[in-house]
Amino acid sequence: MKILDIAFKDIKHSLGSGFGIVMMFIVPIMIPAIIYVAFGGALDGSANSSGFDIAVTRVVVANLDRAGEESAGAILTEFLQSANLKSLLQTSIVDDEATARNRVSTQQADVAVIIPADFSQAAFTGSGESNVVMVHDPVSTIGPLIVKQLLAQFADGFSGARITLDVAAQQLGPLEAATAQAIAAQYAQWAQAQGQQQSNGQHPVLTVQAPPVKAAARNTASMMSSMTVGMLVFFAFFTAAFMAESILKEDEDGTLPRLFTTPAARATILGGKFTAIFLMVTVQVAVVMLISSLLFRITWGDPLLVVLSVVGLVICAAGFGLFLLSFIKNTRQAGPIIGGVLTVTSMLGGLYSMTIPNPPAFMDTMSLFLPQGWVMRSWKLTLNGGQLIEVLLPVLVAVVIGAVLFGIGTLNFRRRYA
Amino acid sequence: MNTGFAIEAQGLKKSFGELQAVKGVSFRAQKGEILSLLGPNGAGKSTTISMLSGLLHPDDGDACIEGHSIRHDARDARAALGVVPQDIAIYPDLSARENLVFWGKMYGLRGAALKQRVDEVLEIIGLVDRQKGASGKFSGGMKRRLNIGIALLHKPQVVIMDEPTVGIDPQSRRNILDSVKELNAQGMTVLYTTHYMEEAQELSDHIAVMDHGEIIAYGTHAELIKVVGEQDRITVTTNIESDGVIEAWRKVEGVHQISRTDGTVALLADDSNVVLPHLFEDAARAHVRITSVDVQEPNLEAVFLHLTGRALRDE
Repeated sequence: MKILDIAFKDIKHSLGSGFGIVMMFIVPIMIPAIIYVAFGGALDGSANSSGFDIAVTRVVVANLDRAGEESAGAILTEFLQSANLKSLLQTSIVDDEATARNRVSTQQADVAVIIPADFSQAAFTGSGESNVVMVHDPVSTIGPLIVKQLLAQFADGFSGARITLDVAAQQLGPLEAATAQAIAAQYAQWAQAQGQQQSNGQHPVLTVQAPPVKAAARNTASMMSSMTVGMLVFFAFFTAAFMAESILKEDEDGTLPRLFTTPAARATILGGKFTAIFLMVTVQVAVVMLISSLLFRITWGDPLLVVLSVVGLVICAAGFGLFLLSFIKNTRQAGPIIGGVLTVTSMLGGLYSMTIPNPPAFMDTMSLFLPQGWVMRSWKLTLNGGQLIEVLLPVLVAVVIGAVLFGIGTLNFRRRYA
Repeated sequence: MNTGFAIEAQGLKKSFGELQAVKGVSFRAQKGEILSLLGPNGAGKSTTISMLSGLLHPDDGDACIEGHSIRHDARDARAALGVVPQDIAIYPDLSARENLVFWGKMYGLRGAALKQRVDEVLEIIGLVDRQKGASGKFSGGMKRRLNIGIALLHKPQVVIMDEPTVGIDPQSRRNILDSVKELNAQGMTVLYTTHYMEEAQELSDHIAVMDHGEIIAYGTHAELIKVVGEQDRITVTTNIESDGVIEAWRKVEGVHQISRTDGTVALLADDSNVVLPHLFEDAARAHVRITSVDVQEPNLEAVFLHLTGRALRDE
């Protein structure tokens, strides 16, 4: 009974600490929340345009190809001005190359596209060398890349037209210029239509079927779960150390020595402190998981596996916290040591790299030597739908590590207060 | 060990590395008395009571609290004891009542008995009106009272108070001394450590004078005074040092001892009222002017000085 009295007193003390509340319950949720808000659309993938917002690229076109309405230059200009590209490009037309270049150099435009005078001839007949020139602001990166990609797509269309003309010429004999231009224009329009269909997610010969909404949801759960679990594990270890620090604090405040003058046995007193660590970490994990589930709609996995992972986490974190604090002399040392040790071990344990698809192999190896690494293994498997037998191993290792560290910490404290 | 005493210590020893803090201390406290451990800082008082209260294990020796050995029956010994530590040891984020409830539970009180005793102690320490306020916001005196109240929760037969008046204002000090007397009047045995000889003098039935880990004198106030022969200590400061004057003072009837240090002359005399006029006459005759005179009647300070050659407050 005295054990629980001491434990509840410690828990009440911790819950009365603003710092404790923030670090135990708010920060572990706030960090994933910030990331969720910042990259939410990109993470969930559910909204077509709610992903990364890309600034519209200002394009200026100088079409020097005056071969008429059906000229290649006119078709390219029309393509760049098409309604489908309005969310990406803001295209304006100028009369000459110098004006186009000037617009870019004065930062009135991000990209200038200069269509040479003989572009139609080169495009439709395949004779001569004629290149579309793209000038862009060196500071801009994404916009010019998009324009370049679109121009390449357009050029591919004309390559196809040239091949068509060659084949037609071989089959029918030499073509008249008007006929050749009509064929090329027809092909170019078809290619352009195909490009637009592709950009709309359609493909004439290839149909990819997938449950897009479900896939997006799974993607969200994976990313958010990974981040939240990383934070959950880190702050569970922090909470355990923070709670264990109360032993040093009470020693310095004189209340621990005073407790030792009461009829309560030392084992009972230390047992109460240790119980507080377990209870507090358990409460913290439960609360953070619950709130995260509601806020980020995280699916944690099979309930049995989740419980096992929670047990592994709580025991391992409590053992580690007690172990760490048992080597610290006073509360002045505690802050920097707890912060430093937890940051390094968490980093090496893979807490911060869980969302990286292919982390370096040495990170995985390194995490085998750290308690956080085994805890994270159990959570990864749980989140990814692992089997009981798969999750059991890391949980057991985490529990054993926690128990050993807990034993060492207890011995150290009992020796200190013998 | 004889268990007829409230506290009986036999040959307690404690070392910290090379430092022998307590060197075989033995003493007894009768039931219902106030026993003071008087000595300068570092004398071994706190180490001695830390052993008695179960905080430190003695390297050697034993002590009984109400017949319970601190070595073999430690839990019962602690249950018979209330400890008031030198530094305030309360939980500042808990209210006075919450503190008392928690500590009461640590002493094994539960339910209605706990509630009743908490109410009684709040009354005793005068914090009924402030029982719900966070104790961390209390004044120093109120914290001291709560600190004492915690030690009284389980109605211990023996209360140990470790320098409870260090660093507090005169009014709070007066309150604490009065409360010690009151507890004693209710039948509690009090072991009181202090380096203020006035407190030991005012409170104690018996005084054990400690120095360098040993008890160098033990007895009632009157018995200890006899150690210095009930002589007055006169300290005289003169404008010039004169061997002639000192020789003349040495011959004054009733002066037993004379010593000179740094411009002051210390004399032990039977009666300062008789001796002082002669001292002034001799000084005037030698054209030496007396600039100050301090007379101390026999007290524990003088006893300590006599026994160790050092003043209590010099430590």
